[in-house]
Amino acid sequence: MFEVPHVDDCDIQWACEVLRLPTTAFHGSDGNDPRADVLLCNESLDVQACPGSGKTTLLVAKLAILARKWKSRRSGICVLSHTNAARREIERSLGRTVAGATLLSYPHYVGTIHGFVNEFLAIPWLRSLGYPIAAIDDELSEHHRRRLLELNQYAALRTAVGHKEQHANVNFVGRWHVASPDFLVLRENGNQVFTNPDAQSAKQLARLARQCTKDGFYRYEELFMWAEDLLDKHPEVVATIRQRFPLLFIDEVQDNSESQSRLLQRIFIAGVDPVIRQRYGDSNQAIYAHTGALGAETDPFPIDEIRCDIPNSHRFGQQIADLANPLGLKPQGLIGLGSPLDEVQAETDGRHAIILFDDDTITDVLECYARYLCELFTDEERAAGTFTAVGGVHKPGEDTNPPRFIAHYWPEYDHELSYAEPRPKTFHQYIAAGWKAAGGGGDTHSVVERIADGIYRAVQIADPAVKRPQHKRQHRSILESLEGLADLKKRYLALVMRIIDDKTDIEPEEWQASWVPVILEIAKLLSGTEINPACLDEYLTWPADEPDEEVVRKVRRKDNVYRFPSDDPAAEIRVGSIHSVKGETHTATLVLDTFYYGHHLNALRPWLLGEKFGQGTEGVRIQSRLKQHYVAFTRPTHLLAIAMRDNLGIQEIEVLKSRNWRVGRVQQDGDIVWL
Amino acid sequence: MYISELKVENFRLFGEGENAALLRLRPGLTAIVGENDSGKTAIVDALRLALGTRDQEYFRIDDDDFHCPSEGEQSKEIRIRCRFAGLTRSDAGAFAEYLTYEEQEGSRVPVIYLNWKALATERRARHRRYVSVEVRSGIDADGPVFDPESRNLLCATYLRPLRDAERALSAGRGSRLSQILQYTGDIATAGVPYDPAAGPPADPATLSILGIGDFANALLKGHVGLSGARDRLNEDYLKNLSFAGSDLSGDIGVATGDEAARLRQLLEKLEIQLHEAGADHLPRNRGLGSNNLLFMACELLLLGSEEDGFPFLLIEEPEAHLHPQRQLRLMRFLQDKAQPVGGDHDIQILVTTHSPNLASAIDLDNLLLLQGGKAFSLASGETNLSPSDYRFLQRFLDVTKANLFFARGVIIVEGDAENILVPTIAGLIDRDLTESGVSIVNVGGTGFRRYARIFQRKNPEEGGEIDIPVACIADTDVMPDCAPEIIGKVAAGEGWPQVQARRWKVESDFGEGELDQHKQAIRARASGQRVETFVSDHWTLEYDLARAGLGRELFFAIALAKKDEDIASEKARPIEVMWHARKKWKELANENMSDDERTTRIYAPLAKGAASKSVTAQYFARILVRIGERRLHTPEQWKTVLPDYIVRAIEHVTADRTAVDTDQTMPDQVQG
Repeated sequence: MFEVPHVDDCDIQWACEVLRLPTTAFHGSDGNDPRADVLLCNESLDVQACPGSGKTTLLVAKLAILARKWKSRRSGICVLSHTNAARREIERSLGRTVAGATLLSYPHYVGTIHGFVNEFLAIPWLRSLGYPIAAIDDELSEHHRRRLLELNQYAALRTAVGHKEQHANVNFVGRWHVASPDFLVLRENGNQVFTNPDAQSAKQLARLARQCTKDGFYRYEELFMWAEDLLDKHPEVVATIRQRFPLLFIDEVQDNSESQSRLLQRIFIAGVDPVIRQRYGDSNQAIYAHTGALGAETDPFPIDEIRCDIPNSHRFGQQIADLANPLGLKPQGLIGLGSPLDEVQAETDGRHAIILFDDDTITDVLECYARYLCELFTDEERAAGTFTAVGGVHKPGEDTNPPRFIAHYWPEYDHELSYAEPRPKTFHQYIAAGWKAAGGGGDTHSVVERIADGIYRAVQIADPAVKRPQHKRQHRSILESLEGLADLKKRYLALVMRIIDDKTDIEPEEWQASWVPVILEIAKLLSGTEINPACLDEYLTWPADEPDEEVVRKVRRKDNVYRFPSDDPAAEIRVGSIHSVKGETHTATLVLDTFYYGHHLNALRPWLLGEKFGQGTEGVRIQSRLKQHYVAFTRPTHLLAIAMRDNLGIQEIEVLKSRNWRVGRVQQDGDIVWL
Repeated sequence: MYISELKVENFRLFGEGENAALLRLRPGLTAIVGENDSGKTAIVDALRLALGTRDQEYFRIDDDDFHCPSEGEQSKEIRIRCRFAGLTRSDAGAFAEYLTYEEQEGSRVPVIYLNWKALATERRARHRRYVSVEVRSGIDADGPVFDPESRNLLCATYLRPLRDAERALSAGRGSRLSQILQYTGDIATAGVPYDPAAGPPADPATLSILGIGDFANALLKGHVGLSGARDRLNEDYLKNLSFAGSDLSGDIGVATGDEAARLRQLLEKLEIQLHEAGADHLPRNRGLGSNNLLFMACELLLLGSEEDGFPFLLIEEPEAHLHPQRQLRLMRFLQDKAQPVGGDHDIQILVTTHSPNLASAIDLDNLLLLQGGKAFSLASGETNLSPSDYRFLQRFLDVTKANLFFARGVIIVEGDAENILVPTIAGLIDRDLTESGVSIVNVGGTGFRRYARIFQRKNPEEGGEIDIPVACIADTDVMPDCAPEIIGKVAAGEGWPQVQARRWKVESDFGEGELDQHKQAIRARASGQRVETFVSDHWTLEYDLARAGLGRELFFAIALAKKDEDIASEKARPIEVMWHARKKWKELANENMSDDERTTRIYAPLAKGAASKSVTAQYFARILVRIGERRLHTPEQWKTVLPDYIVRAIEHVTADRTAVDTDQTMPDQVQG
């Protein structure tokens, strides 16, 4: 029978050594730190961990200890999260140790919830039902639906789609959700697609959904439905999964959606013999990938009876803790222990700033912030630290109510590049994303892989029936396909070399003349049919540099980093959405006001002013603003700044100053005048 | 969990598609039987490749392992697929990501497919083949790749043929015994460790194995003899050979390194000895056979003590070095051990064997016959055998008959006479049964069709037919009308009993065409696919031989047989017997009577029991051999004096082979 390995103080010491942490890392200087209790606890637990509490380190330490003592070869630990951050953190901090290597391989699972559900439930079930897996991807799946729609047998449905999609912003087809194993299709909100289920178009829709599945195209969410279907038909699977994973860890649990939470509860907890589950998260930081998405109703986090609080942060000092604390839904009473990093020594107490701007100075905010950074931090500190500017809304929308989105502050901002796992729209963006993943290191592997990725994407745009290689390096797979075609292979490798060779940039003319033909030829080979180059025109465009703009070569590789001054940057500021910086630690963070049913920071004024505290009786919209900006406010170790429209009264400014904010107005030249 | 199906494609003699090997296995023990080169080893090696083995011996794929069809190009892709069924909850959990839910009797049950694929790639530039291997799940190999750790759980224990058990069980680095012991419970855990600071515990017997080793090590180190030697080594020699500042020094001890290393080194120093109770005076280490048994016992011990893995044992030729009685005992033991009970620790065993001894000890249900690149399970449902046939064969298929599993052709006969005569007759018409690999199975009475049905498939259109020709030789058992009086069934001139009231039949009992129907009915009892029954034209084999043209020879044989005891005790000489017989033969030959009557008279002593059938057969065979040696007749001439059904039966089981053989053999050497 399964037994959780016993953990004692020796194990904690061992973990400190392996992770190169001070020996007091988990016990605290007074020996009373709740982190040690978490490590020693072998029962189900909900860890409510404040920002900068080192939650991931704590989890990694716990996993390392358990992995080292793990005996069973057939049962493992299941570690679920929303991103692969936990996996990457394990690779980073434990990668070279035996415990790390063990943890990342069979019989354990470390990965995303979606990945888990797909791998252990949905995909085996789909394979068993005889449905292939060509792509699990919303976009490709929509693309395939639209191709099928062209067929005569779906004529009635096509007409109906035409009516619905008259407006360019309406995506009817992409939102169809296959909601049952017998191909009942609903809208995303759960409503009927067509009011009359017996209508020709409704029948054709069910048929089309079935065909899509037979062809192997699925939206992400549909895989959950198939997983549920397996559990419906084979309730005993729950027992086998629990047998395999008697110990479950969930990281960033606050971000679980209702459907995830419900499914995980069904798999691991519901009924007899639940597994031991430890959840790590911060309910105050629950922000979701989709605007307006709701949190989990089932199995809410944290459960008070098994709750363990970690309110002391190793990220920031008490001043930032006090500024951020009221924004928590249920303020935890943040304790700022200060940053352990000694690279940055700057004294920033009393420097946390509110930067006010108007229509004329909105584009000067970033420069102003950059100048302020230069004033506060030494050259070395600026070189070593991480400086960011973040906003709640970063996707461009209508051009009203500035500041509506980030590009209102900085027009060059490209939100496509900002995603952790970017979904590029052009081949060029694939390469840019590859460089971003390479992170300025000399390793070319991520770039090469993205080139191959981009070529496969081109193939799939031209012919969605083509399957990507599964479980294989795509570059290798292309090379294999080119086996025996010496000339084309040579040209492909030349293309790869040309792109990874850093010395000179590719001009659009050269791209069009020399390299597009190579991609087209490979695409033709991989799809096995003639393809229409016109459908790839847009995808294969290479952006021209604006010749009259003085651009430093570095900036040309678009990376959403604001550099000031641009020719010889003294400050580099990474710009992105609040969502994209979840879990990050910055030296300084500028929070930009943005607009979604009202300007966020403006709406949060009562909390800044100390008039309101926590969620109180506020509605969903304010709650989501609070959580989002709580995340933003708790990123920096040293400097927190916010930028908002200049419509504060004199009295309000005085109150803010009394709460340790510095308030100033941006000038047209990027200077700031402190009030 | 057990392997329920194995499919091998493009591996050695096995081709792909229709020509692939497809084996259905059952839980517990399966024995693969078949002649040489039928692919037994290929099956074992395919499993070794697909599953990996616990001895971690790497086994490389050779160019020749890729199937080369008789026509066409050598294949570039070997595919081996194992299907695991009967998963317990723990199995399903351990392999959750690799499962396929398969339709079975209306519901879906989880199974695992393991697809092992080797791909040969030609690198033109270097003219060298590279083989890349991939192991995936899914019925069509479209599932995820097996994680190496998960594959380790499926590792087989493999015992090679003619294993060197003595070496495997003796001490030495990496000895199999040390590996086995390391994985055995309690070896590492029971007892207390030796603490050098505190000294040994009051009762040294409470020490752990490693503790005993460490304690012994400490004692040895302190022993005056050893420490003296060490000091002299260091002081007098090594010091003089060292560079300044980097002194070399030697240490003498038993084991060094961390705990695991020390334990391993200690266990490697152990060896196992076998002895028989009450035979202490005999040398401890015994012959190859006994060691072999011991070795297998050790492997079973290891297999039984493992908690996690898939207990699968792969034994090639377990009979190696074992005498027949031990073989039987071993087989019974293995069969017993592998008896499924439905838990996580059910052992599955696959053996290959050439031993009729073993084959006869194994339930027919568990036999798998390999023939012509195809595998035929002999389990019920797969063959034409009925449940009562299985019960019958379980009792009567003994070692003397089990050689039918290894034959290229089988003749099934009802008695000793046929058993003796048929090979001789085959020789006369230039068909050598031994050369053709034909076995004669003497069922001693009835039941021949039960044996024949072993070779008949239930669904030949699905898995093909067993390409082993089987000839059943049967008697019509209908006497000529003159016979009852001659052999004394009825007194001359008296009326005969009603047909229903007697156990014998004569030709006139049958109406027009009814005799043919009778023969046809006998043939129909065992016929179809490669099985055919050949029925005597008249009565019995001896009668028919005599009737066809060997009456004189039979007459002499019977005469000799009657005097057999006298001949054996040298009271009579065969030549005298023959001289008397020749006179009597002349009388009989000159009498005016029908062929039927004359033949019946010749045959009568056998029918009446006045002469032994088997002894007669021996003399008969000897006479025929002697005539044959004189080479007075060509095989074609012989055929004119032999009953047609015998010739056809022999030709049925030998025909194709001799045709091939004559092609391949060198022209007869000119006699010097």
